[in-house]
Amino acid sequence: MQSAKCKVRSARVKAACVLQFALCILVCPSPEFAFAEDASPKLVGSASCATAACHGGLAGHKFVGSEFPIWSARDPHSRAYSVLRNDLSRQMAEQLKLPKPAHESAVCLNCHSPATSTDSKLSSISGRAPLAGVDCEQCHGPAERWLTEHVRTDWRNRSAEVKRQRGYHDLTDVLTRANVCADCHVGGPGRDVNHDLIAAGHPRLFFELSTFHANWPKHWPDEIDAKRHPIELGFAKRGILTGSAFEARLWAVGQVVTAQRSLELLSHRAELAKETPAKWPELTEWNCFACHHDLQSASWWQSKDGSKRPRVSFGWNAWPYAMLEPLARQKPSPMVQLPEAELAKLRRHFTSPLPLAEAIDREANAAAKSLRVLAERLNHADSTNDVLSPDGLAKLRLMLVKDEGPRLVSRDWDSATQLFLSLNALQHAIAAQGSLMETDQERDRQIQSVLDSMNETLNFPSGLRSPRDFSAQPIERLQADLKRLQKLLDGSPKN
Amino acid sequence: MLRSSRELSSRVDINVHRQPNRQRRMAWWLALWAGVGSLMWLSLQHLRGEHQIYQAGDVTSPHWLIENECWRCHTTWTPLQRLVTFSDEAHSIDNKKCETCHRVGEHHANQNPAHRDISCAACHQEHEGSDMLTKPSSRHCIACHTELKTTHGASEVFAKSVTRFDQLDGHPEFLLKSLTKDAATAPPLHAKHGANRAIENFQRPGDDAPRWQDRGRIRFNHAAHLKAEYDTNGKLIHGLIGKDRKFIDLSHSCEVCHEPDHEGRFLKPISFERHCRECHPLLFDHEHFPGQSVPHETPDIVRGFLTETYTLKALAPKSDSAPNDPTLSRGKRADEPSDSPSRPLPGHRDFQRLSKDQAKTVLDNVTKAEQITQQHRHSQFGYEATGGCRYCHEVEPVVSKSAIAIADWKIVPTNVPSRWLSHSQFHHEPHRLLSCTACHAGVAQSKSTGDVLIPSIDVCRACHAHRPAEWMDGIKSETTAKPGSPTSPPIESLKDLLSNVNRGARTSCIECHIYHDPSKDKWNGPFAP
Repeated sequence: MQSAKCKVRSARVKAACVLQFALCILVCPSPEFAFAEDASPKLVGSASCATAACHGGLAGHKFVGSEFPIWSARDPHSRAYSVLRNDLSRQMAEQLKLPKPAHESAVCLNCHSPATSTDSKLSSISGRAPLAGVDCEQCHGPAERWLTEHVRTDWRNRSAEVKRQRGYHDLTDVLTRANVCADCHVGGPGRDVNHDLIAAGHPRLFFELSTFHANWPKHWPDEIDAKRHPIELGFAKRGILTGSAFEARLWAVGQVVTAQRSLELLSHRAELAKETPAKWPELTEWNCFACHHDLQSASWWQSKDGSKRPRVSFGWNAWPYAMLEPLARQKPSPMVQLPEAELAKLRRHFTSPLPLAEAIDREANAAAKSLRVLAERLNHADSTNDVLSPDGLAKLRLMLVKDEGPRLVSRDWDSATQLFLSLNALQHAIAAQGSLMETDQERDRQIQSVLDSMNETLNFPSGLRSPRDFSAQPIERLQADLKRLQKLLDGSPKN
Repeated sequence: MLRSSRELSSRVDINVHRQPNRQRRMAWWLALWAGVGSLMWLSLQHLRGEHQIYQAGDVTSPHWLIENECWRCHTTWTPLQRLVTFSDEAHSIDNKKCETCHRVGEHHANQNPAHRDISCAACHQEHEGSDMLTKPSSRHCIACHTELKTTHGASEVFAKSVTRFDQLDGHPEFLLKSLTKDAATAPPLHAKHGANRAIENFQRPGDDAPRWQDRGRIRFNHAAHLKAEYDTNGKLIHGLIGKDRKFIDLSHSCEVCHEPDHEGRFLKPISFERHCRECHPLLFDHEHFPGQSVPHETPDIVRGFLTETYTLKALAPKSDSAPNDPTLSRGKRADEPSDSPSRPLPGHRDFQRLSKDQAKTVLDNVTKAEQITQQHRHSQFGYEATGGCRYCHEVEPVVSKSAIAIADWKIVPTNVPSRWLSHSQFHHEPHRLLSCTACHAGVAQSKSTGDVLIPSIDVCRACHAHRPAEWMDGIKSETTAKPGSPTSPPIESLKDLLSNVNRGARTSCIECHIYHDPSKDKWNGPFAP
């Protein structure tokens, strides 16, 4: 009896198993649709990554296996939360009249420690507060749905789309990386470093991906990045010689993504203006030093170099958009097409002290859309024969120095600094691309010395946080540097 | 031969009245033809476009644009009314027509209400020549001011009787001058119309009685700046000490400091930067910053300047130490290994904060420098640095709001008026043939800011009089030319000049006074906002 019952039960179990299996096959024909998109994945917490056997070991390898200790010790992102408890943050919270201290206010935590922010849509899987700061999951994505999977050997073979659906940010992709950085370093809804914040003491955001990336103490070897973007240069004695287009792509994509995300933020700000008109116009959208300079023309702190007027232009903040035009003017460049009409309209809007929010919202949205496409194209651009190719970059650099440089330099500090950062990035990018020919080390050294001199000119005077008197003299010095650079580049066999 | 009455009567034609009178007929015809001829001539002239024959005279040049559009001004035709009633009151123009373009202020806030209805044309007569429209005759003013009746009865504010400028009792003394003269009997300041706030009745140490003085809160000694002595050879042996430590003579160079404005009408305010700094640099730390001076600005800015100067000095790299460590500039800790090539990010390189010790040193330096700036004297730096703030200004302590330990201070406002006789119109330019001291007498002897050096009415009357030569002797003594120095045109030559003419300079009221309140003028036209 019992055995009959058991048989029946086992038959039922079998049937149920078969049914379940069939259902599984029916409902989940492929693992791509294993998770529904509606519920956002949860955070697991960096502690889970930091086990000694995974990313928390002090391994003999330089990087692999010891990512967490490197992040914790060197990466400034690990200290993003602790700065909210220092004197400046306390002072800022007071000045902004925040109801809570900085380390509890969403307006700060959204960037400085998104996991602990009340605004955060991400919740911890354990219900406990995860590690504070900008930790692993803020860049790599909430790990609920990929944690177990990513330790398996077949994880590498999964398509990017599958990984994305699991909530994993594929940071090997330059565009994804740029966007993840821009989330905070440019900002967006809920992460808006506006004039109020800056006035209270927050440093101004001026993001340039390639420079920030180069200066960032990384928890992986640079060679990995370089190897992922190879360029075949041709045959040499030792075999096929390859260079890397990573630096070039990082710079170009970074410029476009910064502009695109800035436009999206602008559109968001303009939208907010409809509900709360008092928040419009948002002053950070203008050139900082158009207003932040002495009103007297020849006062004691401006007359030292004999210039009568400060060289500032009252107009749209040039920082995110300074390099777009040079990128677009590069020829041949079939893929680089700028939303020029929209950008021109926006530029015109910002010559007025009270631009129309609705029109700006419209134009900024349209321009951002075009730039998103442009960023995609740059991200997948062929690195052998387009703007990111060795020839393309050399031409671009020469054009920057020859045609665009003098205009950018005399416009304002932001444009001049972007030019410098781009020239510096291109210098590294061109070096990384390598060459079949012998590199001219003397020339590179001279180019570096010109760049150093430009950096010296653009640096804020000691002890100050503004260019103070970016006027006739520094501009003349920069123009002279550009001429020297042009001479060096003109004489080179590459160009 | 007898003549009977019949005979006599027969000599007279009984129908004589029926016969035409040739003389009368001729006269009649002449009159008729004259009339017709005139009309024909007028018609001819009219057809030729000649309109001058109807007009009283040229209109003023600003009205040339509308010269042929009579209706723009004229609303009625009143010549006949004027003829019949023998009245000047009737004008063929309405004030509203004038006010279409000219919205002028009223004469005075509490003027007689009846005056508001006076026709503009009563004073401003058009068709009288080029500039007569803006130069009404004094008789219009004197009509009321000979015996002024005000709405509030007798007033101390206004002169009761004004008849002529060049008569001793025809026009009162300038108010400021009268205030400085009759201190004992002077009425309270607020009762004096147009009195400038700069002068008040106050007593100085050593004064027996209160007197009217310039109450400017600044120390300036005219005599010290104008001193100049020459020896018998014409060599300057004493004077102002210039920057190169040589004597200079400014006794006849008033314009070095008192610069005329672009019109030459008034004199510009004195500017420290242009007129004072060269000899009075505001040195603050001759040892570390030789020759550098603080800006002539508010105490806040002076403190800002000093704080910045000393902060930058504290942060400046020492010449003997190593250059800035590049690893410090990238937001990294110094003990971290540099595992990737860094790239410079301009603007962020070496932002440093002061250490506590450095901050204290800066604070001490600023405190010390502020004290020196305020009150250093010759002895401290030599003649090149004559005087700090307190040398000219009054400095007052202020209750400090800030947490820092430096005492706050402020400069008492100088209260120097940009104009003294603010109700008058004066133009310095036409008076350029006179030396400054011809009118502003006593400048060379004035040692106190309290001295009021505005000339008296008598000085004006020297030229602005029917017989100017009579007044000359009065101001002759004021000018004393120095040997070897560039002299102004001596008053004698002026006297000679004026003695040959019958009439002096103009004396009409509008030479100095304005009828309409210019502050209430409004631009009123198609381009008005």
